[in-house]
Amino acid sequence: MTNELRTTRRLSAWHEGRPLPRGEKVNVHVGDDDEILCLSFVRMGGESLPWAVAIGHPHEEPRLFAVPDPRDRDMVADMMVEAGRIILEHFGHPGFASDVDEVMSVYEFRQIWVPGTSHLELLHSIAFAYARTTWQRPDVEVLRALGNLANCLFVEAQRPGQQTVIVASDALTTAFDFPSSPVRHAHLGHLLAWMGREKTRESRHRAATEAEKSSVATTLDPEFERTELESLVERWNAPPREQRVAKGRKVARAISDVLGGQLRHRHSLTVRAIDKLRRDPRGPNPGLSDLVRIGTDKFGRLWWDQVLRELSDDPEVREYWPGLRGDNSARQAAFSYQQRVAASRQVMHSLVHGDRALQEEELLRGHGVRAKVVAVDNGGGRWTLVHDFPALPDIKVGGSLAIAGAPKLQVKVQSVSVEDRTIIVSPSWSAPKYSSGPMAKRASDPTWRGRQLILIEDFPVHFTESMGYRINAKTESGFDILDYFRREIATDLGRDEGEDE
Amino acid sequence: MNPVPVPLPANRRDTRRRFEQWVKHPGCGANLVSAVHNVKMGAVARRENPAAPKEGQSVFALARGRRFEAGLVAKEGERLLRAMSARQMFGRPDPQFLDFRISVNGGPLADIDDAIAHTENFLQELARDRSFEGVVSSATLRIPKGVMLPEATLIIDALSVRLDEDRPVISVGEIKTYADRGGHTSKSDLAHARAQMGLYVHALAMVLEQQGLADHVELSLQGFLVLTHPGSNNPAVRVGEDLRFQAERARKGFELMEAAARDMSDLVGDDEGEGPTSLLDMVLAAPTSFADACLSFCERASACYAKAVANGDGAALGDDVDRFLNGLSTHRADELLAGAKARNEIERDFLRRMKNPLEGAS
Repeated sequence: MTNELRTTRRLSAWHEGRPLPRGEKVNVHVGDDDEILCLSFVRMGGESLPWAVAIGHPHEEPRLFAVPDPRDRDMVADMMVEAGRIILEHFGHPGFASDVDEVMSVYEFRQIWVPGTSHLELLHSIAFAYARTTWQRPDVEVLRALGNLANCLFVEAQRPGQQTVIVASDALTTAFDFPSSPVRHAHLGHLLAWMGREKTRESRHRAATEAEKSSVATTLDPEFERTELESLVERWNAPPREQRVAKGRKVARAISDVLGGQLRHRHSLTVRAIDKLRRDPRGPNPGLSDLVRIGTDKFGRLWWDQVLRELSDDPEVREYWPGLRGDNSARQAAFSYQQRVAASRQVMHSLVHGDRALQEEELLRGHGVRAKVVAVDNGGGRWTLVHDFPALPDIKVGGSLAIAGAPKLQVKVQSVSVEDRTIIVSPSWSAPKYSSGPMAKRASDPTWRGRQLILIEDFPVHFTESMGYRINAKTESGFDILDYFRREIATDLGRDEGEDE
Repeated sequence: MNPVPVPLPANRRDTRRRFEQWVKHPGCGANLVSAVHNVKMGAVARRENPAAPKEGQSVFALARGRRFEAGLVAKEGERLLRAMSARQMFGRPDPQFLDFRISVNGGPLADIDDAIAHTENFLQELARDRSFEGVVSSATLRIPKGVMLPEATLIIDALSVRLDEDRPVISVGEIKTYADRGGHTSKSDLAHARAQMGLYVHALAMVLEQQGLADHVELSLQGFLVLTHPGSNNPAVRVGEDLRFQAERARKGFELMEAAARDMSDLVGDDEGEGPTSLLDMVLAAPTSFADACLSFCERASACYAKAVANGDGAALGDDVDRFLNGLSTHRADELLAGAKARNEIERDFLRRMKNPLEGAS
């Protein structure tokens, strides 16, 4: 059903010839310039680690790092040590603060923005390469710290509602409905071209089609790679390995220039996306502050607390870094699933009350009901509602619903009659709740009668969260139904798995 | 008119690639003719528009793939066997290695026919002498039946053999250079590799049946993948890939592909009788059907997309829009949204759902 809503909105956007705002508010948090670090990568075809990296705050020129040939693991590691220091400093890692006075005592909210999903996946490859490495080389602790941070960022990026790792193309499609097929929406250049200054649908469409020709993913266009880089890389590799640095300075600079152009393009698109969202007249959803607070707490526990444990002198204190391969058992997968369901409900709970378009989406998902109050009885203790959408509401007796726009005004479902579309509910408040704005009225107030309301499911998030913890806890009997679902899966390999033989 | 002919020997090669190409968008006539006749869509795209961009793979990625595979089979498959043994894929500590690669790929065999003969002999031998446990590189199969693809050829990257109570059990394996990132490994890459392995299982089942070996050699429905560790050339072996449904998909797919090819010959003619004279023209003459999937594999996608936009085909805005429009063109949808009067029930329904999506959904 929600998909149909997206379909109709896309058709409307096509008719209008431009992207249309999705919702009444922007539902993505855009931090301050100092909180945001934009990261872009380029990798060689077939390789999984970066060939070049661009890092920078939105208001400054990005710093570029590149190696002539990323198949040389030492050179890549040297590059990632340099780039890693900047990323670690941005997140406030106490071991990498440029100024001792600026060391944070608690984790403070930070964001990274990447142009597309492939850049996020590259963070995971960096984690695999360095988080558990036992490589004997200088600055290996920087690589390890970078690997752990990259893994935590990748893990956090999977949590619904998180605001720490933002994929720019996803952020734009969260805020707008674009007049093109969703399969094209991963291309940030395509999306931004639709938002350009061209005046007609045809000219915007032309610009978007043209923009797609330039890759913004981590891989380069194969033809570009062949014509612009293949011969340079061959020239770099022509001298014996030990002479390459001395003899290949010019070639290395030429490669770096070519890659720098590609990275600047990706970086500038990310910055433009940030700018578009900041300038959006709708303003951010007030519920985002909740998500930022929750995200700061969650990421603080996931990464920052482990950093502190790692730096602790106490031998009893051990850090617990998340695994690299995802869930390694049925129990862990079930736990993660419940946590994500809880996080999704939290997103809905935080954002839906501030945005009527999201309320519509929730109705179409079957998570609520639109109804008119036809009677207020028992001194406000009993309301009779007649619903008009959906025809068969998915609500259950005993369940809790919140009035859209006023999360503190909740009602409990007493009975549901499908035949005459009647729902009896009992409001949970009696005196006015002043934080509820225009709806701050007693439950017995007669003006409720005749009012049409959207009532959204209000299942307490912490119930789902605690269900996950119960699943994760081992039973005393030793019997666990999840054992039936166990199968052989890849397990975390040794600490040196990222190193070549 | 005769069924679509199969020019040989071209059609005997690249069967897997062509089958997978067709599966990606079976609804497109041009895709079907291209797959059946082994006509590269890139060549058709450039016949249609000489300025059409060339797709293709990264030169570096191709080189990496070759290097990785060569490293696995070097020194009697030492690296591959070690990685597979580490996953307990063999019962004996010293598994054997057979190399059926052809000379152009750095192997000891002369050509494809030689590789097919060696593979068939190997299977016969396996049924007789149950002592082999190990891996075969580039086992090559000729699919024995089929109207459209009478002698199609498949090359299996790695075929493992283990003994289960003295009965040989063979499993297919696929070598890929992308990184194994555990549960976060690219789902589409994995799906693609599993689909390939399913096709191999289906082909092996047919070969074993045809050679009367099905009762002597057991074909495992679980395959394995040989991937890389991120940032390294070390192999990472994933075992236990369930291929039951992928094998069934391949069986059904071949049947459907043949049936579709027979139907299509009525529309586009063939290269011996009436109709267009060249294979390229046959593909060009076949009806196209733009869809989201085209972007991921077809070099004519941009031309078909432009045509879809010009014709008001809803698929230009996504497969879901095409379904939603229920036969209306985007041009007509534009007119209706601009205030034109609905002429029939389909148009009235469209307006109702557009103006009030909640009403449309209830």
